[in-house]
Amino acid sequence: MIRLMKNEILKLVKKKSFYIVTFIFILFCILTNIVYQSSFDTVQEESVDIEEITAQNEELDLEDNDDLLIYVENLTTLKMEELKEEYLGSSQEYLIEHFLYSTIYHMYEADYILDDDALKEEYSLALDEEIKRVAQDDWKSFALERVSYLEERVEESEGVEQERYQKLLDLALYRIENDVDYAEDNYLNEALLFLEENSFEYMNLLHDDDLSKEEESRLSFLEEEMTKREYILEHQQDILNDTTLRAVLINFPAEFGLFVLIYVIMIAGSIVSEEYTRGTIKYLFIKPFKRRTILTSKLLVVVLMIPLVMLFMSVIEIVLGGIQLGFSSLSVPVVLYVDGAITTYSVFGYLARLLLSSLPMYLLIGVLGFMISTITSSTSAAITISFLFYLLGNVISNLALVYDFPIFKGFVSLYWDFGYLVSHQAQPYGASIGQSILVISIYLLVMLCIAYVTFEKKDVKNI
Amino acid sequence: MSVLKVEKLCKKIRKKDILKDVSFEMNEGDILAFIGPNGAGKTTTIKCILGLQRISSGQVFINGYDIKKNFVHAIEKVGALVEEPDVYFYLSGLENLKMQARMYPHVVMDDISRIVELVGLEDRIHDKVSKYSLGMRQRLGIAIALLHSPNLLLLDEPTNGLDPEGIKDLRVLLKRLAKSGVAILISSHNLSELETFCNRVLIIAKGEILEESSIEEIKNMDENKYIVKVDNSNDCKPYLKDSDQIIDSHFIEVIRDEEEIAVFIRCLVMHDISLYEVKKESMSLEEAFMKRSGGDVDDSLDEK
Repeated sequence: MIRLMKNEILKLVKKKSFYIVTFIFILFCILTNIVYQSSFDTVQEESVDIEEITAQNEELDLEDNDDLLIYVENLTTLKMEELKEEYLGSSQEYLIEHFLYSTIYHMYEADYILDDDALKEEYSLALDEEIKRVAQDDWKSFALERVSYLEERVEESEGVEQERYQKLLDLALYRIENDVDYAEDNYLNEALLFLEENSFEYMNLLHDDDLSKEEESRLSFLEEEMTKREYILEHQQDILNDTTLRAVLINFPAEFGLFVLIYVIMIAGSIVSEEYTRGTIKYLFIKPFKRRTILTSKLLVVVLMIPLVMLFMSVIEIVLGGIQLGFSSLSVPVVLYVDGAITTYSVFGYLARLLLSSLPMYLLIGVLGFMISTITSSTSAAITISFLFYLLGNVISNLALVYDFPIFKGFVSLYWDFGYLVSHQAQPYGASIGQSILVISIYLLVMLCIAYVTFEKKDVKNI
Repeated sequence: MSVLKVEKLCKKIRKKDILKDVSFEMNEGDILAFIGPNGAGKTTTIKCILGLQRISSGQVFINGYDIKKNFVHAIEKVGALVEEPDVYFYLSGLENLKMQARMYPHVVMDDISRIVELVGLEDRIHDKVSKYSLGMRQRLGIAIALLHSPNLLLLDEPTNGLDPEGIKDLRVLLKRLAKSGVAILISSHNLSELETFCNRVLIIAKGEILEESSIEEIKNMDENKYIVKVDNSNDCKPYLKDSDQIIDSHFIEVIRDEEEIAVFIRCLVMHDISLYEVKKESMSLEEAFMKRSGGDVDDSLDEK
């Protein structure tokens, strides 16, 4: 039996199609890595239309109080844009955005609304000084100012408001303690900013007893995102970076699942039928083995090859991805937010679980291809039907989410994906693990019975 | 105990009789020529013996084991080349042999190299089979059949694609194997190819065994045929028997035993017919056989 299996594996790996698919897979890996490498945050910052603001300002009636307020605001915006122009794309742009606004606003306010020249002069000097600090990229001084400002606020306020300021103060202190600058590519900075920007909204929603449906989902979204950011700050691990090898591996099933399918179908669909079409089945059948031993050895090879192919693909991607994107991200764990708590996996542990959870599906499709290959002796029929079955399975799974036809309940694709166990979710169709295993086992058993019976009885036709 | 015993083998496919009561036996050292036109059931018989096709009724015993009931033991000492030598084209000859050898428990590397030499493939054994000619693949097929030192060899048209040198080598090889006790069945649609070295002949047509006999038996049927060259065939007419034939204006064909031919020659000489040549023509196995079984050589054997 072992000897037969060794032969089968040799036949598989020496085949041209195996090399062709592997070659295409390698190319695909390289391209995928490039795509990941170049995927920057696609969040577009609101661009300010300077011309429109200028035009609006010319139409405003400065005698009118409301218009005057808008006028001052517009002037401030224009001034900000002018200053930012110089530092486009650098961390200084951020400093201007967040720390210069009030000084500039106060300056124009003194000039146009309060009509206080001395005050205006004071703010103007302050602005010059601040611009100087921006030029030196002295982010720490701004951060320290923020700390003392927040400390004052905490002192002054009480209750919920104090809680809010305390939270912001903690973040500001964290920044100074850990020396987190405002650079856009600093993941700690990204996490801090996210928390600073959203903690207010979060607190409000949290303390609101009467939430609408949308607000509720917004709250749980914020909860999840903020918990992850807090994890980042606590462990100083860049868990949200999606330009790393780690990110590619986490998305392995989505990116490379099709290739697993191709390998599995290619192997399972040809392993029996090709012996018939090549005529080599004669040599197999006149060896001192029972036919069912021969078929079993082939089946075992198919079953064995599924995890091996996954392993093989993972190794290729890890090596290629490591060369292209660096290996360092592999030490960062995968962090899942489940039911208000954080669960962490190592990258490899997570990948292994993901692949393991998809094994039943590939096994089923593999055995289907194997059966058709045995019945029809036609490789193309086996490959086509297996693919169609996979597609049909997906369609039915999707339909079953919407329509509750009892006929769908008997279809195996509702049960073959165990990915929900990895992400700690509920089975989408409410089936228990036992039920899923039962349905899958019945399908496997029926298909194998058909395959064995036909194989035992099949004549080797004359040419 | 006979090496191969086929008893009333019948094979039906969709109610059509492919084989009808095929029975024969082979002993150690037999070389059996299995002759029949295309579609007579040669390959089907071989496939049924090998268990490649199911037997509708009847029995096949190899070395005493029933192929249906005790397949593994029955097939253990059988080597076969059926139809084309279909091997894995994307592997080299040696890889193919190793793969086949792995399926027998006791075949070792030395056996493989010995057999490669035996079939004369040592120069090209590392090449991919896809680069082989049909003749070379045929040699590889024979090598596979011999790998595990079988005591029964079933060869289905083994001379296909072989050059005359190859056919000669094969004959020598098979004779040697037969001497060492291997029973060999060779199927062919061409008896003349086999007549020089087989010891028994089995003729099949339309799924039925027409004749089974030893080669001597058939050879004994051989009658004495003479070709006579004269200056004018028509002058001889009065002295010919009904069975004699005028081939053309110079040649005639007569059938006489030794006594009779002397009388015939004297008769021609006495009637002033110029006699240039008298040549004894021995009948081929094929013609002799067909004569005996009452068939016509052209119709039943040379359909190809």
